[in-house]
Amino acid sequence: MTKRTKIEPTSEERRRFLQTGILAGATALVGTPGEQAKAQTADAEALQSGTPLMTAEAEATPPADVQVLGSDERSGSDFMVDVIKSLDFEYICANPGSSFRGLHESIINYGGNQAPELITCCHEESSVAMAHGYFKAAGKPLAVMAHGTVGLQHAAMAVYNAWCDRVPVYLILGNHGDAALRRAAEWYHDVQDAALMVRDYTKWDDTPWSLTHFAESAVRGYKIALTPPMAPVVLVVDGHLQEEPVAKNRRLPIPRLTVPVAPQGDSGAVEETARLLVGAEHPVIVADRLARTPACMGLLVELAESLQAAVIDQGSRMNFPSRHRLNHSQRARSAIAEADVILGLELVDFWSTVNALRDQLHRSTRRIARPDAKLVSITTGDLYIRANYQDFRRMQEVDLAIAADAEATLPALIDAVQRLTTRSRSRIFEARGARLAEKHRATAEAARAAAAYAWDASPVSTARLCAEIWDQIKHEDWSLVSSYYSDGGGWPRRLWNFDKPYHWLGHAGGGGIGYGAPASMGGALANRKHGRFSVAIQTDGDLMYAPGVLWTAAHHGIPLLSVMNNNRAYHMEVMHVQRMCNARNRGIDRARIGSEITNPNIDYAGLARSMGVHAEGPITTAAALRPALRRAVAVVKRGEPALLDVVTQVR
Amino acid sequence: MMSRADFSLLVVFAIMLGAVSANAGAQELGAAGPGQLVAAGCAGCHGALGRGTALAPPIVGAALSAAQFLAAVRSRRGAMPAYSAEILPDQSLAAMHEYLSAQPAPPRPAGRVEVGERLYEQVGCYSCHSNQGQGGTQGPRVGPDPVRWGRFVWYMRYPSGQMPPYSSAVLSDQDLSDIYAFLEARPRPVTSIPLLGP
Repeated sequence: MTKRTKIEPTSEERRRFLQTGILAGATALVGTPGEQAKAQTADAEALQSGTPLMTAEAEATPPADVQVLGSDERSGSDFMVDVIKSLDFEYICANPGSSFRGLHESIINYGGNQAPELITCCHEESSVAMAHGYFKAAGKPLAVMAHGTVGLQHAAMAVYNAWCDRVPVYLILGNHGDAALRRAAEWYHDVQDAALMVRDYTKWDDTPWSLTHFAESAVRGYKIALTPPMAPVVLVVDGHLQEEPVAKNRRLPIPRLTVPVAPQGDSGAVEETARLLVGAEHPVIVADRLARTPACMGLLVELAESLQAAVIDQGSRMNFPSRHRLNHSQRARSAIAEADVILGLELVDFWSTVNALRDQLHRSTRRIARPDAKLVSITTGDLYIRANYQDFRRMQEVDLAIAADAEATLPALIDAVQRLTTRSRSRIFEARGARLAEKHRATAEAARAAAAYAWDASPVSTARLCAEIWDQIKHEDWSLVSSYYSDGGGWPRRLWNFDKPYHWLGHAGGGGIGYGAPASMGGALANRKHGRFSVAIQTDGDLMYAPGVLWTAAHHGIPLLSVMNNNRAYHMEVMHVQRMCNARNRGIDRARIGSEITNPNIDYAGLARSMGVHAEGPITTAAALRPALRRAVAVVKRGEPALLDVVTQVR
Repeated sequence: MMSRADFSLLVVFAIMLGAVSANAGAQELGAAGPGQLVAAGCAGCHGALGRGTALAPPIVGAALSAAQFLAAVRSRRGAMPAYSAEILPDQSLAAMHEYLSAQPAPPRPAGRVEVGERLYEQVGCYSCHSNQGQGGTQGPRVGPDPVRWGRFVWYMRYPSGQMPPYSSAVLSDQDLSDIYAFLEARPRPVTSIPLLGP
């Protein structure tokens, strides 16, 4: 016979027992006679099975201790909200979870659901991707709350995208560290080391064990996230710490936030770079993750004009005006091939900028740049790198590597270039600038000519799609918040006039599909207060990862024009399988199996309408596109989201 | 492992060296004809009759004007080395161009537009070049006015860059001709589209 040991419940455990019992008792008391009888039977069964239940008799007994905060107390999570407010977060995204219920309640009640306002998301990946897009439009981070286990597992892909894009996302994970006080479900939601799962692709994490510790880690985390190279950080917040009362008069300090100034390049190295650029016959400036602030575009224009040098904007940020005569992004390969000095500013992949990899059965590589071209890099990528994930790309030999923030270094570089430029060099620069202007003009003309082919085709050509969108938005204060087609050669950058820092927010970072829809919502959320017209070119495969973000947009009134580039396939993958078919001589006619999104075709307009979003489609002809665009633009200008399902050609 | 491009370059230079070391010049190259191609080093990549090999496309037929031919030979392009006037004088190239232009272009089976349209979609040409051959972010425009037939077939079989190869086991010459016919039949764009103004 098993010997039973009587265990006296702790005060905390008694509270939990009573809370559980109160709910059960309420159920038993409010039903019809028949339901009450069923409830009593259930009570009896529950008692036999050992499940703790509050009986009607026990319900009548006053509780042994007080179950609400005293007038001289407040919750730990109220203080956490004080800390969060001190960091000036406008929004906090979350799919609700009990491990952060204390903080959730404090945000909406104690914090008044303002700064931060809680944004309800239907998936944690959406929460983080919204934060990713938001940062690139707002220039400051958005906070995200999630369960330490199941929430973070959903969020992980979006965290990886943000990491690869060096975008700070501020993650707050709920977790119950003390196993003795966990509710049943909390065993699944809790973990000893919550941040472990994403530690390889976050910059810093901590698990505070006191409110003072929380305040310091919260401010420290923010500071670390915003210091270049920027990246996501994780704060694991204990459930008990959130929910435990603390005396109101207990003084809990909040450290003052001072974000470090970004590091500028060594003055000697900057001087040497300027000397190389001024002396070059064909200098080329390549910018990728360069623009950290709205001021950067003006700085890059000044540097380029000082040298009359070609600029290649690789597009991870909005670095350089698309119609500037020195913008040679659309003829990047030719510009690189003729360059004698190449300055790389925050390049994600310098190697691929000056080399090419041929993806055939036997892969091969070759250098595109001249063998004698001098390469100079300025990047914070040299200041910080992590193991395991390979987002650091191939090692490119360079002649001068400046470990510094490129934007912070530009003013000194511009000064040095202007100081070293003699009159004779100026005349050479002018002649070069004229030649580059002519090449830019010819490239732009060729792009417009190319767009005219298949102009009236159905499905709608991607060139026509982008030209029609441009015609509707060009007089608005617009912002292209997401588009998979803005990669090199994409139609928006070939046809639209990008000349403001918020005209383009950049790529997904890690190439994880599913970024587009939520990131564009985040970008649009940041643009809303500025009255900007946000537009996204939304691919079908991307939307299907977490379409619930459409509901978030409708619920929170996020004005975004989402125009679908619906090619009814994960088309990049069709091409990869096709490549394998070709290489193996097995025929190509089945290459689309496993990658097409047809049979049935998805009714994206119906999907969006079901979530309260204005939507039209499928639109299969260019003739039907224009009036639908006009209607959708009017909806967005009223402050609501709109989606157009346009069936397009594949590329 | 040596890539095809590397191998191609090696062969070209080996043959060039051979030609040059034999004191190649206008006189030594002899009369215009296949022998001239061999002596000048062209045959190593383009074949003894100039009809193309896995290393380089056919060069027979009147695809280029004499001036274009001269410019192409004088400048390095891909695996094709530049031939200076010291190696191949202008008059030798002019004779070579005359000979090549007089040779028949590679034969082409009659193409069927409707079959080509189906094949273009079925074998995935549209993936990179878009539904109407107008090109896209992954591949250039291929129609209307495709490259000449001989070059087209050669590139389908032995593409450079990222284009996957289509062997004859996957697409016969007849299939290629049908696709070619479809590309030739693509409509020309309307000019002066207001939305595409500067």
